[in-house]
Amino acid sequence: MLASRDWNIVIGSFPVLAEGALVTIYLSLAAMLGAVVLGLVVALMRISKVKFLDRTARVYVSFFRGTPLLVQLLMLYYGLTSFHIVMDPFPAALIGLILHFGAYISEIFRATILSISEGQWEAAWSLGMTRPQVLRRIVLPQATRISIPPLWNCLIDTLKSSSLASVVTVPELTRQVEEQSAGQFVFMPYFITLAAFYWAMVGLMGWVQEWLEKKLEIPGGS
Amino acid sequence: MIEVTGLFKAFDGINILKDVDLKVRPGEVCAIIGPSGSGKTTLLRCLNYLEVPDAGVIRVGDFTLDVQRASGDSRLIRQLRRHTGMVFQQFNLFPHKTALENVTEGLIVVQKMPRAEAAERGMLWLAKMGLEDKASAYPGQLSGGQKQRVAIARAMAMEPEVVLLDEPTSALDPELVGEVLLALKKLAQEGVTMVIVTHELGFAREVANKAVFMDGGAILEEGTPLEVFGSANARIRSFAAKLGHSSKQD
Repeated sequence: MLASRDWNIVIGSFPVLAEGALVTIYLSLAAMLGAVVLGLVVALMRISKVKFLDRTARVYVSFFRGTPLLVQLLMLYYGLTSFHIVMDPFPAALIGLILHFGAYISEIFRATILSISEGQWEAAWSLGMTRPQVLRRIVLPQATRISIPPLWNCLIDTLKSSSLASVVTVPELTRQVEEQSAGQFVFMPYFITLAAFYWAMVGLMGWVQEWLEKKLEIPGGS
Repeated sequence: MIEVTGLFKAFDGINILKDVDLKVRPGEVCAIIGPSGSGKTTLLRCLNYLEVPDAGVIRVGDFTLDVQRASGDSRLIRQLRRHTGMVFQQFNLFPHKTALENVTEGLIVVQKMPRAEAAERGMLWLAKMGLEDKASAYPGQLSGGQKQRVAIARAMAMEPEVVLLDEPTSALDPELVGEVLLALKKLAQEGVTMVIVTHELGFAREVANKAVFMDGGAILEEGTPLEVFGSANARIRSFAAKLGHSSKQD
């Protein structure tokens, strides 16, 4: 079943797979960046004293955390055509990933921001800082550090979930493998290779996480 | 100097401060004492708006803030805070910044002082607190007494009109209390105006020029520490006796 002939076919299509992997990496990195920025904005809206901002953010999180990513992608790519909005596959997938994971990441940031003790706020206020200054200089740097492990869970999920972009015809890794395997009539070797690609990429991310955690470590602890 | 008149504060309909008047002259050290729940910490925190008072007028130096007119005006509140320094029971140092960065943070961010100048002033105050060799240490690497001295340097570097201290030695191990009290004594001798909520009656007697005894959200007695501790008032006598007793056990 897993004959070496099959493996030779897989190895022969590596250039195509590498192209797909590059699209996956590009799509995922852009989605992670977008989702982190969006997540931070939404988290700040959630802790804002302006009711309207808080409510808007709640509705956003409720919808994008409450519905499957696949459904969101289908709506963006196919659904919106009913409103004469036609998006290319890549931007549709990117926007879908950002909106979906931005919702999860906003909750991570909200939790870690709220975990910074009231005393930190009070000390900064006593110096005469404004609320944005306290956030930027005192609270967010500390919150970011403790956000890393849960944030990385979410970013890893973003990378893996980018495989769903194959459904909206983005020529990323999973789609390339699907097409190759169907065309060549070789299955398990392709899927093992596909899994190995993702595993390797996530492994790399784990390495970045460790590096980042070390870098952000505070001497003497917090 | 700091002066407050007609200060009221209620939490959930319960009056914590009832028409409190207090005046501390320049260079004076005022110790606020009293049993827990008497409102002394709330009074102190109202003075720089960490608690929002319901009514009253707060005057620090030449800056006056009428609570009923200022409520919600964050610019006025920040101005009030720039005139006061605060030292907390739990230190509240910024753990991600070195001792020096803790001291210079307000200078750079709030007073917009150039970094080099801020560092110079920060080192000056760390040195005054006997911590010049700890400038690049992080709070997690310092003892409780060292942390509190950094916190005092942080408040002092802003050159406030008055420093507010909320039980600055209560969270310290007994053997570390002395070094913080000594630092405060030095500041008092230099003429720094201070309002200090404390249970250290010995320190209050030795360093404060003025003592205020609070009970039930009001000032029961005020005067020199000797006058207040020597008061014939039964509440004060029993309070002082209890503290005296517990400090002997230490």
